Amino acid sequence: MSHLNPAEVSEILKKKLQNYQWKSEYEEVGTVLQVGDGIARIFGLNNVRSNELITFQDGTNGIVLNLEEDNIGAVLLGSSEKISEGDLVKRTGRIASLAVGEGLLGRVVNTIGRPVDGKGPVTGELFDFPFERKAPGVIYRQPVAEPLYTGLKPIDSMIPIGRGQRELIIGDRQTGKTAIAIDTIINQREFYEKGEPVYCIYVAIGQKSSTVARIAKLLEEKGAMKYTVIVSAPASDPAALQFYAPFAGTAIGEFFRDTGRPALIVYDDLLKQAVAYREVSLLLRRPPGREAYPGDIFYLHSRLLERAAKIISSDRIAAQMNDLPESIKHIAKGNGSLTALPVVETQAGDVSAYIPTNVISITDGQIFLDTDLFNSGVRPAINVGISVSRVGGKAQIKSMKKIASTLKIDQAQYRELEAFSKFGAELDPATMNVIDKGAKNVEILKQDQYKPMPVEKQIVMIFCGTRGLLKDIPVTGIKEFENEFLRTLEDKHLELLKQIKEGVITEEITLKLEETAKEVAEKFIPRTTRQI
Amino acid sequence: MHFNKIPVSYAKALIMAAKETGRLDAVYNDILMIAELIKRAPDLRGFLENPVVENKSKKKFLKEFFASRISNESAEFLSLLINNKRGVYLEEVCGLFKFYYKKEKGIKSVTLKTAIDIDEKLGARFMEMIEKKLNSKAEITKEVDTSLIGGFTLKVDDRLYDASARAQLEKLRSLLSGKT
Ligand SMILES: Nc1ncnc2c1ncn2[C@@H]1O[C@H](COP(=O)(O)OP(=O)(O)O)[C@@H](O)[C@H]1O
Ligand SMILES: [Mg+2]
Repeated sequence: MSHLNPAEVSEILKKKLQNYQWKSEYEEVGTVLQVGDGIARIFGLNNVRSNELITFQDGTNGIVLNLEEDNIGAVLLGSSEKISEGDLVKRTGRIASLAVGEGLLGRVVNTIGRPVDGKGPVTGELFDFPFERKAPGVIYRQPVAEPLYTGLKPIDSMIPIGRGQRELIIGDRQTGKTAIAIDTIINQREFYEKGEPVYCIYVAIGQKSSTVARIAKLLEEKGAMKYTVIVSAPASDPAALQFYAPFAGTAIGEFFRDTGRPALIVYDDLLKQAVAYREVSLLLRRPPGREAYPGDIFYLHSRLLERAAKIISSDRIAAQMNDLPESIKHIAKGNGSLTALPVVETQAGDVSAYIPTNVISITDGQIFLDTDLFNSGVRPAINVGISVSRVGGKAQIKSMKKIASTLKIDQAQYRELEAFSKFGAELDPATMNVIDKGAKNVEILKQDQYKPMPVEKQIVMIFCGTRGLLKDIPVTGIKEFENEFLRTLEDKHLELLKQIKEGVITEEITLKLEETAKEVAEKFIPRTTRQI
Repeated sequence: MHFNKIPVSYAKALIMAAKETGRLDAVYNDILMIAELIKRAPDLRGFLENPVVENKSKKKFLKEFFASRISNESAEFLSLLINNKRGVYLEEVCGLFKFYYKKEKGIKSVTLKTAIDIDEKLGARFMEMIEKKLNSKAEITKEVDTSLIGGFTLKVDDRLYDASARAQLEKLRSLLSGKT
């Protein structure tokens, strides 16, 4: 500090100010015709573009949505209290955008990028990313090839998700949708610690502020905030902020994606977002369609989810990607990805309602959650029979693919026979075997909340199930067996686990696994069974 | 996407109808009054927008309230709006009508805002200059706005010339903070 010369300071300031000119120009302005309910109708601004940011006299911003003859409709990004009829409105010439950068990690921000966690301003270099941006064209993409691990056995084994994929989480309220999303975020800690972070963005739409705060605190405790950004548009926010929140989150995701890194975004949930969009549209007097949603609601969701992608590995081609923001062209890289996990809430399991069917048709698969399963203690309450992942299989590692290949069919068969057995029919031993194996598998696939499991451990457990190695252990002993078995492997066969994680599965490995499983199982077999 | 042509159509129709009967100025004065009233009494807007209130009672109210104060043309127009269930648009129609009226009359709407009250002589010179420059009739409003800090802003229809100290300081601020 002592070396700082006042003359130098003056010089720096002078340089900065050299560009300054005392100059005024005519600018285009509009006049507020009417304002209320978060909407303003404005006369004038004939040259304004759709989605352009405008500024009201009191400093409040708005986004232009309707362009009409002699007047425009705009949504306010703040309160309409201080805006009144006759007020001036100015153009900014900028499309509505968000300032994004590494500094957002660990933060909770609102839809316009302002921190709402009381931890001061966002630091570091920030880049302007538009809310609305065209999805990367086909030549800038490549097929999904790497796994995105949720850490949840039923998903990673039977409904695998790949980086760049869009997988819908759908189900009634209180079925564990949010839990799956949060566990998936927590599960990325392994990769953060390995120095290969998957950056996560959790977009909370129309939730209670206290719920969002609780999620932030939880992720903090689990060491997951270091690689996570939360975009919060609580129910108390204006509808416009709620329906733009996924776009803001996606802009953040694209920053990571387009600088060559993997990112994961959760939209929780898109039904609430659709409702906010419907509210705004009705206020803008757009003609309502099915379930009173505006006609372009499908387009709204498809252009949002289209932005999830796996980017081509060539840096050179990736840097030429369409609609890449000018500000990051110099740091653009290939091989990044944005995986999207949209959440949609259903009413009484009705997936044929308008928004659910729309989003189902846009995504690459769905994870269906079922209230009955949830209540019967099967948690995660995934209805495996009707859940699918259309592209993730290609990203599954060999060891998992091999071990879990029959799991889905086994379980389908089990459910059929189980229903049959309830009639009290006399069953042959083969059938009994299928039922027993199925019941044990159900137990294996259960998983507590906040306990995502690395893939190699999932594989060895599913191995025990599909090979029927747990035949003599009662259903109630399965969880204990799991703990003991995994501990034993970690103690004695760490190398083996590592190999499995790499995708390797050999005769030698399976023999070793079987041997260890039998050893551990001994301890859990009740006396009576042993005597037989 | 023309979702909102309705108020535009009504405002334009009113202009045309008033022109035909040669009552444009009278209607303009009515509209100014109605607009002012809606602004001051938000309840009125709520009343007119309320789908539960029957058209009949809306019309009755308007008739009694405005009867002696507005021209026949305007009264009929209000009736039409209510009949067609377009009461919601009244505020916007009034706003648009004001703009179309001035356009029709070739009147420029000029607002001069200054940071301090300027004296008569200076004001008059300013006005003279503006009218000469615009080469058309102008409806001029003068306002004092201390938030400008210094200088003035001049708004002509939908163009704003901002020569205030506030705008310059704002520009300086964004230059120094690196945000544009
Ligand atoms: N795997 C699980 N094991 C135990 N409890 C769970 C599990 N998943 C969710 N829950 C609990 O179930 C409740 C509902 O979960 P949540 O994720 O909030 O449902 P949704 O988002 O579908 O409304 C929460 O109290 C949550 O803690
Ligand atoms: Mg939830």
